[in-house]
Amino acid sequence: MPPKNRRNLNALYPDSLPVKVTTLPPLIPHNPISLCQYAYALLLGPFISGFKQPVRYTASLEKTSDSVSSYVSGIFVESEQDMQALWRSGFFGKGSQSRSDPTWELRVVKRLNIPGREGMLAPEELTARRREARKRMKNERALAEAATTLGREIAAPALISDVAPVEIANEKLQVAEQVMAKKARAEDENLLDSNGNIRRLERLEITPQEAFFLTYALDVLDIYDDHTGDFVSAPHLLGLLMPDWRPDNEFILKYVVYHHYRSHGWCIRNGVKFGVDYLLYRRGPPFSHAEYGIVILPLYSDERRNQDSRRDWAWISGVNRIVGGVKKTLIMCYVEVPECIDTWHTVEELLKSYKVREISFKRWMPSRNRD
Amino acid sequence: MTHLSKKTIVFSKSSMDELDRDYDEIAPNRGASGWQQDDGTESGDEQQDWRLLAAYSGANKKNLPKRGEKEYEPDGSTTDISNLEQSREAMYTALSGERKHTSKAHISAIWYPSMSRAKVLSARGPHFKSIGRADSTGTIYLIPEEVIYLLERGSMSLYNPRGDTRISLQGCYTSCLRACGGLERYVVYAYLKRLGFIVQRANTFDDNGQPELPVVEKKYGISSLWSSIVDRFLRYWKQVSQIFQKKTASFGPIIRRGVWRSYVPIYRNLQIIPYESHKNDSPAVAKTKVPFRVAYNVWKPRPSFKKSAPGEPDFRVVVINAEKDKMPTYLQMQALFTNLPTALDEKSTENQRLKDGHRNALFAIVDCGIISFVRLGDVSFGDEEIYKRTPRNKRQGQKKQ
Repeated sequence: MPPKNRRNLNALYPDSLPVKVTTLPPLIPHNPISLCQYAYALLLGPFISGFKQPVRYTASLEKTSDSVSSYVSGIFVESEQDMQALWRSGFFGKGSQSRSDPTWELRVVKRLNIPGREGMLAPEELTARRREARKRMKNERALAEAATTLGREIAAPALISDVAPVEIANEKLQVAEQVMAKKARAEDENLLDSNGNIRRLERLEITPQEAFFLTYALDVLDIYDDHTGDFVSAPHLLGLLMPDWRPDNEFILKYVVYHHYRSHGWCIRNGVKFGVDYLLYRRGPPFSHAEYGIVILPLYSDERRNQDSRRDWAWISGVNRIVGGVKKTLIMCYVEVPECIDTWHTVEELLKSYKVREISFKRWMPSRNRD
Repeated sequence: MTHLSKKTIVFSKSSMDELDRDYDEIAPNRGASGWQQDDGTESGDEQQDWRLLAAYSGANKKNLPKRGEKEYEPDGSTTDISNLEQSREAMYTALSGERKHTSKAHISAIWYPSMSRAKVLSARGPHFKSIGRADSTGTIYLIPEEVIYLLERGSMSLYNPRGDTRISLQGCYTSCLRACGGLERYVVYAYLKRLGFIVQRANTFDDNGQPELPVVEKKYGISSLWSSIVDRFLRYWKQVSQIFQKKTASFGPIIRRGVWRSYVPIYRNLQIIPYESHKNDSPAVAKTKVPFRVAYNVWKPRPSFKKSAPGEPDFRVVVINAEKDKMPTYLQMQALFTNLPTALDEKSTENQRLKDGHRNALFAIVDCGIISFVRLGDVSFGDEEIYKRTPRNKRQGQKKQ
């Protein structure tokens, strides 16, 4: 990635968590004004920010119930501002109408040519462009290869046109964009309200682990029950998410791992597309590909139980081939499960009764490690 | 001799097949990464060196090597067909030649089943640079793996204890294989040997041996005394501060409202999940059992190798029969790692620590003769301070440049 692009990304996503950080102004000893500014920020800053309402986000919790019990079926952030903020600072959630970050509105604005928001490209559009260019490049390559193969027996005529491939690609892209922009469908009218504004159809779905992290650990998210409208506090949410209260409940195991990696600075996101529980990004999806794939395995204090629940080599080998095929390293993350969790007093004590241990797993090829 | 040499041909053919198969496996990987060489080694950064391409640009465009295609697609040209025919012919000519050994390099040995060792009568040739072990009288003895391997290659004649009958390869397999610890161990041994690695049994080959641990010098002095005092004080301070923290923050959220000047303290406060740290690991003896013990120490091929002073092995191999044993439990892996010295020095990079691990072992998983190597390492993400490179800091750093 060119450095210019990276600086843009830094400006776009300055925060790694949705917590407001106010840095002190630069202190220049020989400049009295900067001294005043510094002292003001240092001494009065806390008072002033104390008056200000801290940034909070809102989410709604949906429950589904079957004949036996009711369970949480989804946690959604509805407001456009909150959606964007949670994505930009720490890459939380997934847009319901988008690949990852909520860009549905942006794409519709572009497609319907609604003025005011041109010039921005959604990631889906970037991918489409890249795919178009790649297709073009592959065609060129196939032509060139055909030319060299034929060239052995008959001197092939110039198959590659004189026009530079880049120009052709650009031209094609422009045409494609125009087509995309002009093609308004009949049902598109339903997307607009009476004032010509876009209806808001997208929302951000956050995982239970993300929701609990944002409410319990950071305390920046307020969750309300979608049905009753009641406020759901952090302990209440925990009760909803692990109703059986087993020490090796899937939610708490995943949350322990989620919290562990978040707290050490990694951007951790769902890894189901790569056959793992989690993916670790150094800073976030726009910056670089994920470097690690995490598989969660419980580690019981009873070694016989561990013996009984051992996995096949074929399973881990399969996971590793998928993860390795996309240049990531597989990490087996063992979570030590306490024997019982009845005695905990606070959520923090509950979390502290678990322990995380990691082992890396990588394929090794003899012929490539010989020299 | 002819009988033996035929055997050799058969086996060398199979080893060639094995080599072929290995390259086949690598090929698609290469395709994905272009000219990148480090996919299998994972040492250092995985950046591509595009300068390698400079040689192929401009006038040399036609010489661009074509790689990464697993299936060979004949283009039907006469050049193509004759090329293929020629190389096929060359291969068969090479294979059909009779193998001969000069009497100077031929080895003969006597197999003693009671000892599970073979006594070498004439130790000649280059093999003994890395094979065999001499006793106090200077007589060289071979372990069963080495016996089968040399016999398979056709480099050795093996006799029964009376010294009158030559043991056939089949006979050798019958009497030596059990002493190898099973077919899977021999398969791994021979595979690595054929690829040129130097392979020796580790102390922990069976359940009796103790792991080889490097001697750690314990420092006693004023500096260590001072550091232990400081250490103890820090630990005490941590406990005290934890008590205070508990009083203030145990019921509420971890990150309280207030003014934060940087992300570093936020992350520090968030770090409440206990984790296994490898910062102060030192090797110790832990109880391990076959097969989750290091069976072979492996060195990369090197001309300067000395049996008497082999040095630290490059790899430690644990051999597992996939039909018999599933994945080890965490405790079994941890015990195995505890017995190993650290693989990293002080200059290690974050990449090495998180991918290779502080200590690592190769697992050769043998399933019906198919060997799959994986490397397991003990890593600790909690030991790395990724959070210190928060976006804000980085941006400031860039401005300075």
